[in-house]
Amino acid sequence: MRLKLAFTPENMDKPILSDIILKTKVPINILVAKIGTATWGEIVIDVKAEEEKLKSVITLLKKAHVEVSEITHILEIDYDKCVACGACVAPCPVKAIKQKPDWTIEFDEEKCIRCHICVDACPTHAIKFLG
Amino acid sequence: MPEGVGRETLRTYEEINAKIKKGDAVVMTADEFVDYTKTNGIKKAARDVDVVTTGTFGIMCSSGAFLNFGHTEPPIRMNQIWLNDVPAYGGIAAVDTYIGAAAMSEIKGFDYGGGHVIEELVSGRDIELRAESYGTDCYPRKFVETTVNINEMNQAVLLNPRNAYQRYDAATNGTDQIIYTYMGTLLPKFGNISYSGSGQLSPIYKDRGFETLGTGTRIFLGGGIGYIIGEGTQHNPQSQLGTLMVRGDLKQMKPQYLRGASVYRYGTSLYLGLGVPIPIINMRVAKTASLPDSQIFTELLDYGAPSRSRPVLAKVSYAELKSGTVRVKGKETPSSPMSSFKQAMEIAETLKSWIMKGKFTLSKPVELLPRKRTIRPLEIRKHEPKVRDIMTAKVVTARTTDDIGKVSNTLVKHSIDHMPITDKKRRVIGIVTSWDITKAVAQKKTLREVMTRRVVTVRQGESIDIVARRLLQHNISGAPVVDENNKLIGIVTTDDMTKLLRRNID
Repeated sequence: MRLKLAFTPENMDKPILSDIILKTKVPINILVAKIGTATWGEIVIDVKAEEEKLKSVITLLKKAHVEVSEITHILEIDYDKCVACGACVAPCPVKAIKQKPDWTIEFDEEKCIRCHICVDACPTHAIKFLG
Repeated sequence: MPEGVGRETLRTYEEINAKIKKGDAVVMTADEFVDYTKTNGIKKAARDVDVVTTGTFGIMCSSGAFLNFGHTEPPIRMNQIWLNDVPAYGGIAAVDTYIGAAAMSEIKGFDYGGGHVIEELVSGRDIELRAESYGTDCYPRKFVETTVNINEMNQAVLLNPRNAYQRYDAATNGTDQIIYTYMGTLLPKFGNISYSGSGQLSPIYKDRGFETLGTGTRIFLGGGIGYIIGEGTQHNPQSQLGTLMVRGDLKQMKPQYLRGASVYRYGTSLYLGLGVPIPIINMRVAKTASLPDSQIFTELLDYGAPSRSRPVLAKVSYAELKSGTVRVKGKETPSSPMSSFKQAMEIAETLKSWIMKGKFTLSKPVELLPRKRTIRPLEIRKHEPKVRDIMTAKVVTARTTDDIGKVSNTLVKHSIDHMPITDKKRRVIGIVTSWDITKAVAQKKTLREVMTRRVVTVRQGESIDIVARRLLQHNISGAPVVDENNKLIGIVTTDDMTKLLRRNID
């Protein structure tokens, strides 16, 4: 499951994620980490764990006053703008974008690491990230 | 030159058009013709099929439109013109202009350009027109600001100097940084391949002998009818890099086949759909029209090299490129197109249906396109400072085994900041700066431990401004100058460049 974590100046200086990893022994993959001039922080993580463990990770995060929201829908392709060229396909470092046999573009949410390379690579501005 | 180029031995244009009018013409898309030939053999295919339709839909920068706005009251001789803030050409009096696809908005820059203006025109949207003049006795007005619409213009003509490249070089990137090119985003270390052109659907490849393509050939252009008016600029048929100059009435065209494009950190352009009918007039034309993707090749180039002659890494077929992976330097590398095969196929299909319905007949060109052309580069005759003009040829170097104390003394003695590390044959294997040496002394490390091994090098024939850009990119202040065998022949630093600037100012 992908989670967006929002940090505040109150909890930004604490090694919250490390503590949780050590406590729960759940492997957590950090996909994006942003810090905005000491007033806010945002981390996107991917947690691959069973229901129980996942729940405990979320509980611990909330206990540390981290705002947690699930990311279900990451990216949107405007198929009216898309010309089905392929400029976004091979540049994707994790192969999350594919072309079907009829060359139309298909996006795999599971694989996406939100690097935004495809957004820049699209010549018709047809790709948008949500949230 | 083969004898009787353009000879109509299998069928004439008149015969084909007569069949089209009766609804009897046998028309296939190039994709279908490739398959038909595979199953039935070239002789039967050539006998059975009258016309093969092609298509391509790609970013074609060398495109634009002539527009005539009509006269204002009192009239103006527009000499500076903007359409939606994109500058258009004002050198053709008085209310004519040419809007180029690659011109960029003065407000939105990379995000909006001439290609987008053309797309909006074709969509029937109003466009902001702003024009200035100096005012004359016959054209007193000095300024115009209004909106224009394609439906109210006298003429709106798409006229593209260079379209429909027969094939295009495939691009990859051998540097260790991501680069953004007109061939799209290229990941470092040969991370991906970007290619363009429609392979076995390519208009020119299907008549690579130039037996039917010429001035006056009627074509599908942007969803309307257009004509080939001659060879395109940079037409280079010997290298299978033929191009077309085309013209068509913009008022007939459809926005789905003309789309504005923004290529990240490169500029704006126009996606254009173009399709050419190839009449199967003789066996040679039939053979080229039946060429499959596996027999159409292009070159894979390293776009990491900032040169007009980029290193060729491999010869690749469109079949390999279209498969989605190509082996580069022993590694499976993902490949994807910049041009749209989906749209190209649709164009070939549409043109086929036009011909089958009798809506589109074939025209015999009044002059075939040239089969030979010499392509010349642009030589720079004004003196441009090169690395060899400012480099220091006597370079103080070190060996990996040298003692740090000795090296730091040498730096101080010569008051230099950079010291290349060479091997026995004077080949560059590393570099250290005074900062590295300070670190080594402080942390009691050896030269081998602190030296940079991936050395950014330059060649003595390179221009200073290219080298300056490279130093800036890598955030370094100097680079060894090497020959083709990586042998050290000099060193160039930002200090040398500053001195050159001083000299020029003085």
